[in-house]
Amino acid sequence: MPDQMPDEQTPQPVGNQTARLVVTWLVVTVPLAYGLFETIKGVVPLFTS
Amino acid sequence: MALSFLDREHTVARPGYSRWLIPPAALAIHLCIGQAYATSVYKNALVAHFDTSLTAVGVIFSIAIVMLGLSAAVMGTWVERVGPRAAMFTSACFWASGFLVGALGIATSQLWLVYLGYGVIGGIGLGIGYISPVSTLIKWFPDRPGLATGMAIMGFGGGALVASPLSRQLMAVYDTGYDPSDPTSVASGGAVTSLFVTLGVAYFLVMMLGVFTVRVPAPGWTPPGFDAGAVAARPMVSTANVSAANAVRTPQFWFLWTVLFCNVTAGIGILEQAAPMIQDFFRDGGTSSVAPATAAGFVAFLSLFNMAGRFAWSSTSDFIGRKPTYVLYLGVGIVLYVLLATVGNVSTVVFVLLAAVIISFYGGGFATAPAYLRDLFGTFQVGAVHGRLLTAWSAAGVAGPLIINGFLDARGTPGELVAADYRPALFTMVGVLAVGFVANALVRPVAARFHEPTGPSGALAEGKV
Repeated sequence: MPDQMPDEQTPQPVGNQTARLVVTWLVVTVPLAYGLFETIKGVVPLFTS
Repeated sequence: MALSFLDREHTVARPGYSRWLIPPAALAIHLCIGQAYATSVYKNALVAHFDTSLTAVGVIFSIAIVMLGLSAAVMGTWVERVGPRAAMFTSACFWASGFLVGALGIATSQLWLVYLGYGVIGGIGLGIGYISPVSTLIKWFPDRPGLATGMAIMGFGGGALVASPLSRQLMAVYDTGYDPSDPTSVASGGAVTSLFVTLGVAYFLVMMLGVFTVRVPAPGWTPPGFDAGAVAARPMVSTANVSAANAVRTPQFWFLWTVLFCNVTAGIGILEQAAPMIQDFFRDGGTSSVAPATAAGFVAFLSLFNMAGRFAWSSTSDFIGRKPTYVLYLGVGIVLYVLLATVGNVSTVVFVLLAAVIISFYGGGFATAPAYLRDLFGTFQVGAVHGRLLTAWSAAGVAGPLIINGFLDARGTPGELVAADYRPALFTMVGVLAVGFVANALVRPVAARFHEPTGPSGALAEGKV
């Protein structure tokens, strides 16, 4: 959720972000890996026929 | 205000926010809008559904790409002002709405609604989405701008790799009579309608990940160990800032515009005719030794190199410099094109490797452009300048196919030609690349009279840089 920080206050440092990093990267890399796998399957005939 | 969370001031990162959350936020946007390059998957289904020509259906994609260039150019300054979160949210709304309006057009058999929906509305989402993360990435990665923008723009190429097989499989679910493994099988209009609704909703949700993850760095933030002086000491890298309005008045902008135009035009020359081209190059006595399935594999192989080139070459530019990188794209590109024209028909391995490297340069040219702009014009309005530069893409999207199709039409029909028939078109592309090479050689640092003031009343002092 968005960070809202009052102007007059010193912003609090963010906590541990490991879980967020893992989840965020997974959301984009899993579909990309699926797309790469499907594309490589399509490339196979180029080298086998 | 319910939407105040979109404001730039509410997206300033708190201390310790990991900058490695920004690339996936950018990828969430680019992977979704990259679907634009997968429209061929349902092209035949739309032709059958609307009982119209391929050209009439192809107009949908053309409108979207023209709107991409126009909206990126017109909305670039707005994107810089409101920040990445509001821009990404707007892009998601337009992109998803485009699919939904397009679905309505297919369901009611009104092609003009598909033009309006996917073409115009979706195209605006494409343009805003394409430039929305660029400026933010460059500010988070002042030490590796090529790597950062390369990752995002690689996502645009990757988006098609995801959307193509996914769309086929979804259409098979919505229309049990459709066989995705059979190239002659055509999905029903109802299946494409359902596909559009599904993609619209799914892309909106994925793009929201980008919206809620993206942050702008606090004013004055730099990564640990970053030495701004060392970066600025590199040749062709400026610490000064140039507004978008001033940038288009500099010769450097137009040299870069020419460079991008030439690089994209040359790449399209191969991409446009990839499948019939490989078959024609190895045709003997009317029969090609390359089967249609192999030609399709060649197209897939090129799309891999298009995507990989965006990341690999753009990242490399952080080490060798932006100008030398474009010397590589254009100079080596010239040599490769000459080899393709003269010895490309010696063996399929030679042909495939030459074409693959050329296409990697095509992708690399897109991905390295934002970092080149940062080096020349600073970070102040680099996203807006990038938006204006993308009009070169729109222009090349018209010029590239015109050149290649013009030459090939004079020789016959692609799919029935031989290697020699491609030589005039390929040598023309060599000339196009040579023009780009000269334009790149002419790029020099921007004159000081175009720089923004850095005093206390300047925009730079307001923390917008």
